[in-house]
Amino acid sequence: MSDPDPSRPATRTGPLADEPAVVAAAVSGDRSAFARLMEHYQGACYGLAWRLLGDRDLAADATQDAFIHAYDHLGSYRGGAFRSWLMRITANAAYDILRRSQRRPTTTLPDPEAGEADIPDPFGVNPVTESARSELYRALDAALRLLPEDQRTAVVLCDVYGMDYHEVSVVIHSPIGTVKSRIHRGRLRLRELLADERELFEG
Amino acid sequence: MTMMHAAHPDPERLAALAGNDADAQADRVLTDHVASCASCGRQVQEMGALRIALAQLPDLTPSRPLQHVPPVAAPALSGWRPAFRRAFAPVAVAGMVLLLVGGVGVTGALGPADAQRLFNFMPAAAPAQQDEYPEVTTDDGAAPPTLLESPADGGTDSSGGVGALGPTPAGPEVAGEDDQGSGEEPTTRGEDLDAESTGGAGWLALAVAGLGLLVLAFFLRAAAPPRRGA
Repeated sequence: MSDPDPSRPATRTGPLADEPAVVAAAVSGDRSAFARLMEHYQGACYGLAWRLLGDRDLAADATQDAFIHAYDHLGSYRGGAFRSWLMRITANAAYDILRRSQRRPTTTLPDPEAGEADIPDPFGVNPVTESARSELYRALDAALRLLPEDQRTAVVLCDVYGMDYHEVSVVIHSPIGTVKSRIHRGRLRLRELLADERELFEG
Repeated sequence: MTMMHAAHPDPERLAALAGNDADAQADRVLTDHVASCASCGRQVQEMGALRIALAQLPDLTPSRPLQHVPPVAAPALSGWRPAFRRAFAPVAVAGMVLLLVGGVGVTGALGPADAQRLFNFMPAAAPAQQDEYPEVTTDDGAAPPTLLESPADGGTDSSGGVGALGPTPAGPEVAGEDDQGSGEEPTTRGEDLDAESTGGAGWLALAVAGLGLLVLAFFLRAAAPPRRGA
């Protein structure tokens, strides 16, 4: 399997080499340290927001909201992985936007079984020239877009971004039993949607 | 455990097992069945592979530049600073006006008579001078020209107020011409000089007050500078 396009992130953003010191400086009020953290993790935050919202502009709005909220509530950071703390804030910001957008009239999701699915490529690249891994990522994101919104949110937070049941229940304001059920049904539905792409993620 | 039918468990239980759910892993009936059932085992394996692939989905580049740090908010001012900030403009304007008017008066553009008229709020000076004027007489018994009358029109200014409000010569010039015409009346000149000195002092006081207000405005601005970008 060849390497993915180097012009975009190949995988998840890892922690900064000197992240504890940078976080400590940011908590103590160093704006440049905070900016460095946000610049480092903006791709991760935007990716989460995009996968929850499915819209580039809304995802950018949610990421920007998350940065502001993180700056205002940096004092509430109690240690641990800074990335996880920031991702929870981003998830909340994106979910708030999702809730607000659902109060307005929206178009229905296309029916993939009827051949109506027209999933935008989040990477902005030609799939024909993509590597197998990029094809897998694109297929996964396309399948996620086809999940019902409640299942998509639960699966993205749990399986894509590693939140546990309790963290997901806090974000989406639902009982843990409901969260589990949505995640499990989402996994089953994803498996069905990706039945034709099985060789991509089993290879 | 909810069974879909007698042979296979509920697919959601398989999905839970694929996600390493603690309850599912502790369910011996479920794990034993999956271990012995090729179909269910394949489902669990596929969903496990799917989870691994989902966990590797890469980060994405934002669709537009983002602001990493919110703009600096102006610090909240303590109780007296907002009052200082509000007071700056009126104090500065009042100071400039007083300094301008007082400065013009002091430099002689306005005479002391104008000072008397403009500053009739000075009760100590104005009534005393009005009482003294009737005591002054000229050789022909006519009333002497007042400080507000122009000698050029012989005190017969029909408008009555133009001489006072228009650009008439100032008090000292009136007194000087009066001296030339009569060759005497030292008392009148003395009163004029008093009026001149009183008016000059008023203008000077006015200018000094204006200067003081400008200095005060400077300190107000220094103590409560304007908001950046406001």
